[in-house]
Amino acid sequence: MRPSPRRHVMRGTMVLVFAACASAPLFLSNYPLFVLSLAIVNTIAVLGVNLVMGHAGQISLGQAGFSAIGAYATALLVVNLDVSYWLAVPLGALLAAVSGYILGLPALRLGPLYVSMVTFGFGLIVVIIVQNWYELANGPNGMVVPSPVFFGRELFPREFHVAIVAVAAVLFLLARNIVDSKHGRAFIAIRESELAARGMGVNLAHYKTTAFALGAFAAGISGGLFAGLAQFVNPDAFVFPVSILYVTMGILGGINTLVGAAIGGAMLTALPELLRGAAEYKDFLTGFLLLLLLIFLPNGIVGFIRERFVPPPAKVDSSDGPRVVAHTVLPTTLQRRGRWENNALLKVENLGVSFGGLRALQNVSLALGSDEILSVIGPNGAGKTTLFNLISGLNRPDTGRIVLDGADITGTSAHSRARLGIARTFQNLDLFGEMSVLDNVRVGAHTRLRSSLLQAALRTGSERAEEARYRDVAMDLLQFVGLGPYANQKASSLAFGHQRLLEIARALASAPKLLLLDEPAAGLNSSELDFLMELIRRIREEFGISVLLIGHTMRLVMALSNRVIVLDHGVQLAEGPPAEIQKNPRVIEAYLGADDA
Amino acid sequence: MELLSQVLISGITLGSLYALVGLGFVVIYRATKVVNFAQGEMMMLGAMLALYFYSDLQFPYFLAFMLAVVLSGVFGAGLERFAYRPLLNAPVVTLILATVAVGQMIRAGVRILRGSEVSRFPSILSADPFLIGGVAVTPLSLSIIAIAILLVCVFMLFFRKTKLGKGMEATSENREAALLVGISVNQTFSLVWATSSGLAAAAGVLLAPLIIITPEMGSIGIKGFIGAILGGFNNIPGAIAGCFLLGIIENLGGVYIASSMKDVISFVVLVLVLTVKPQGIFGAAEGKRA
Amino acid sequence: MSAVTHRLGALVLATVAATLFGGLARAEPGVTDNEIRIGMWTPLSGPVALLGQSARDGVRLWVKEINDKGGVHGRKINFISYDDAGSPQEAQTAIRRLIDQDQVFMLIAGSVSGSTLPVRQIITREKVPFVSSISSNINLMKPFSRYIYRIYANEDSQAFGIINWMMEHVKIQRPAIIYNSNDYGVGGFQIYEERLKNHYKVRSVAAERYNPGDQDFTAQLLRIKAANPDGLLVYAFAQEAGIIVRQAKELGLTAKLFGGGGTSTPLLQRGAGPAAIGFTSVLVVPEIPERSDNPSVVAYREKLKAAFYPDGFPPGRPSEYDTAAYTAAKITEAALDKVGRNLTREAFVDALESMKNFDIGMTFPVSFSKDNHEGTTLVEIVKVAPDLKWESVAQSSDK
Repeated sequence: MRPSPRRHVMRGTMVLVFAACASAPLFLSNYPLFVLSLAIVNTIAVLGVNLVMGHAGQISLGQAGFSAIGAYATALLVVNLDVSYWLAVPLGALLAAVSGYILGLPALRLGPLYVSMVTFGFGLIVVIIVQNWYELANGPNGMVVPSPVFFGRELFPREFHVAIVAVAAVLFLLARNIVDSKHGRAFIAIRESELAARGMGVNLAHYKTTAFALGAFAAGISGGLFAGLAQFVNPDAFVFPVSILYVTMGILGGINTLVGAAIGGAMLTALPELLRGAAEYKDFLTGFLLLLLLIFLPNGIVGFIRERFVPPPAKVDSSDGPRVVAHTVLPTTLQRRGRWENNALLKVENLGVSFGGLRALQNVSLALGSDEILSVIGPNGAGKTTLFNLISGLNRPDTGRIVLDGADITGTSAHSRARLGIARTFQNLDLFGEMSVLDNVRVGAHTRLRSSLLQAALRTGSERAEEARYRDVAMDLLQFVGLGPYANQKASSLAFGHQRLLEIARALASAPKLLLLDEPAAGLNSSELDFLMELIRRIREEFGISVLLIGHTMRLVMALSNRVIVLDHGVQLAEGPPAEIQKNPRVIEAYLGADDA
Repeated sequence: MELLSQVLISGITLGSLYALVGLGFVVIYRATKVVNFAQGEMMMLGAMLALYFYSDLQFPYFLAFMLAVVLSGVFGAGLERFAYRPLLNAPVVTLILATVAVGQMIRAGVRILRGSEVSRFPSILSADPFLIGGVAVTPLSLSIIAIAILLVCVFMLFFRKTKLGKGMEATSENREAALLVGISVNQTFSLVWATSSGLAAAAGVLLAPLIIITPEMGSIGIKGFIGAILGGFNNIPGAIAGCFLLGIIENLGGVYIASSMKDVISFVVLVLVLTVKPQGIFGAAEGKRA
Repeated sequence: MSAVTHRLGALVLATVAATLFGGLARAEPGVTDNEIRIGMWTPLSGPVALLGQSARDGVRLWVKEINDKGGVHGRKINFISYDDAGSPQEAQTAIRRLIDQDQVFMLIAGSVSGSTLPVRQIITREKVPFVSSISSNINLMKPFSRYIYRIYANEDSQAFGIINWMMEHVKIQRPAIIYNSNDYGVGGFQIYEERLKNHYKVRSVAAERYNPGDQDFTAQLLRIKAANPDGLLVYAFAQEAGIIVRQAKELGLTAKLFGGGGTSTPLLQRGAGPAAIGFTSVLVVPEIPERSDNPSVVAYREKLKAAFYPDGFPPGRPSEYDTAAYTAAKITEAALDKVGRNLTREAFVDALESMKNFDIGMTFPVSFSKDNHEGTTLVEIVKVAPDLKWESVAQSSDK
């Protein structure tokens, strides 16, 4: 991977900052050094917030609760069980991570409102429990934490500071590695569109709980470090306003960045020191500051700088439609050749589903073999997209079954079906708008990348090799659909027609056996349509992928399809080669209505 | 048995407090899909305003009450205009945080203006208990229960029958469609916030005799919110029933399990309910077709 | 030896001497030729701002008075106060700023226990004298430190006082308690338990706990009522106590009501109304500052009003934290005065330890010694009269 100049600058700056922080004990006296140490400890907690809220798009209003778990676990291990401080802190953080994971479980089924409530309640509950559990840690009186000891030697605040900086640096590095990997992309995908993410094979349950666990882990480390820094833990240090403070810090810096955590953490730790005189007005001012940030600077300082000072990637003149790059060869990794005799790739048998009393589909059956393009047409509301949703797993049928490549997948989850070889595009487009065009495609390859979270965090050789390989694959796919020049642009900035093509590239990245295209031609002009038809033809011929297509554009349907299925009001009307369907009286009636005399 | 009856009755009384606050939450949510974390503070503001008119300026009770409600309504509309309208298209998190920020500002502002006030509002009804079958109730608490139920009915009718109410519902369902049909979204939102704020003020004045007026009295707001979620946030009677239920659960848990853990118990119950039925006990499934 | 070596030696000797003595003269932090720096960290914002604002005003008033007189032994007082908003994190930074950056000579008044206990270590490690007038938590003195002093009755003494009154004077047979889960409430509860068990040999019929910020106490009160007590000790702060007292009455609880130190403020009646009549509590100062006609308290009120509140006092002011802080300041002045011009922390601490029966009429007489830094164990028993004002009933002491 060749990092752009901007990333070099960012990296260099971060290194400088860390070096400056680490050498601070040489030129700062105790008080400012303490404020700096505290700022860094806070920053670590904010890092967690940015991961959960900024990257994965979940809500966490209880971050201080996880800090409390980390802090108290550390204190108790050190004081009661004589565990070394340096072991106690990660253990405490692990305990926090487990709690985060558990807390993430309700989040799976609940919307953001409820998640905010649950995390908020969690933060309150932790404090209540610790405060009331007198035998555990003196309840409200808190407990003293001895100075951390390093190889038998008590560490003075100055030396401990260096340790704090080191831990922060390591965590930032790990976080950056994760964000840069398939897992980081999966988080952002979830934030942008849960539906599309599922379709690309991202296991929502796994990633949501993982996000919470990671955020909690960071908070736990922060808590453990705080215990060593302040050498005292009591419940008052972890009340709800602290959670809000962390969120404010994240938003101030830029909630969907990592650097933002450092900026927000530093500024809002130093600010009370500067505002010491303001006393009664401080609460009011911080609330006001948060409100202003939310209204005027929702992307924080980093976002502001990016918008103002970083030039957008060069926009290539898109007036002359996408070009087919001649003879693009799809890398072998994406080539799947299989021969399914007797239409055995996909079998749909008697599929039926109702939504709230409304029968959307009834007794629909079809079969698809290799190298086939099967189109599904019908008037609006016929149930075509519903059929797709059932096949791709976003809904479950009430009756019937779906068999893919011999395996019954009727009960399989959507993200697993992606792994099994089903990919789709969406009728109203469902791109990951904030991600780059290239990254959208890379998310498509999610199921092909095998590296674990740990491997990603540690940037192992195999993880890097895999990333590089599939980055190339993604690039090739972009070339294939003619979007090569736009690789680094934000997906939401593409023209409509290009966005459609991007969805196709993204779907192809998973090397599917079956590609579901939901009205891929809607909204395209004539030349774009030609290009699309050529593209679909090549997909079938060169890549051996069978295509199930929903279309209203008759030109495309008739020209490309091997067979056509007609749906009307959820019922199958007809099936056959295009020419036959065109002349079928029932089909004509369904589209045009019965002849009124 | 007598204890149990007392626990239940007291639970219902407590629940009525939550219901009064919770109603304001639900009204806003129904119309704007925003969760107003500052609802409790709006309530406190209303109570403080009424206190100012009644104690400092010596206005008669009902005048102070009316003035507080009206001024709070105006304040709420102002909030909508300047704090929330700019965030109309922002993600939900942003709006939630904005209400948290506003809540903090209101609380801090009141503290600056009034100091650490602790005050009473005299209740127009007596707080002396009388016994019904061995269970102690006061005219005050009975009246609050009655008022809570009355208000719920009023608002249900409002949303279902009146043009304004239905317009509010429409706006929350689909803003663009509402615009197309000629409903002024901005005006509607202003009205919604004004109504909810006025309602919060009324709740504050009614509740003040029970929970005492301090800048921190707004923290009861969260309970109203929890109760509404428990019952089902997207329909009014369900949400209010949830609030009553929360009061009962808290008291049951507090009396029969551990009194200092009643918040924990309520929270656990909430999470359990949400895990099994995410739309709340009485909520209708909010279907989003994939 | 040669002349050069002589002169070199003399030079060296002179330099050493100058450094030693000059250094000694400069060695004491917070003391210069014409000023003494005194520091305070306290909640000036947030829910407990009343305490911090009271204490700060008490000290500020003293600083104004003493500087108008020319200071102590030619040194004026430079008073530095920081808001910690009741947050332990901010207390940590504030205290380091005071000690390391501002280099204060001593600390005065302090903060609430939650923000004082965490920084205790630093204070004792840096050997900064600290005269506390807010935190009543007994852990402030554990382990005993030469540098920390308290000028009014701590939690234990306060609890002794009211429990004593409950059991011996009112002759409660079936005591119960409701208490806050914070350090203040838990401290009171522990004394209550211990005294009942060891001294009075009486069983507590009910002990219920609530959390800070709770606004409804029905569950606790119902459990208490079921145990049928004849006396209920309310270990709460005024806001919660007000609701508790009122709800107890509404639920038909007939037990006599008593309270810990946090309840003995006029804010109780403001919250509870007529239900508070008969409520008996302890006060750590002999007079209710807001009302007392003790001349020194009256003088304080007038001076405070003239200096800072010409338009009238905010609710609850002046509170006992005012008079306690003012007393802490006056005893500081007395100790500074006693030490004289050659001011060091050690000498100052010695002077404090020699204070006996220090009494300016606003608090109970304060006495320190080499191994006792709790200024007094006396508390005042007060009761809410039918006119809804606090009235003194008796002085009480533990033991």
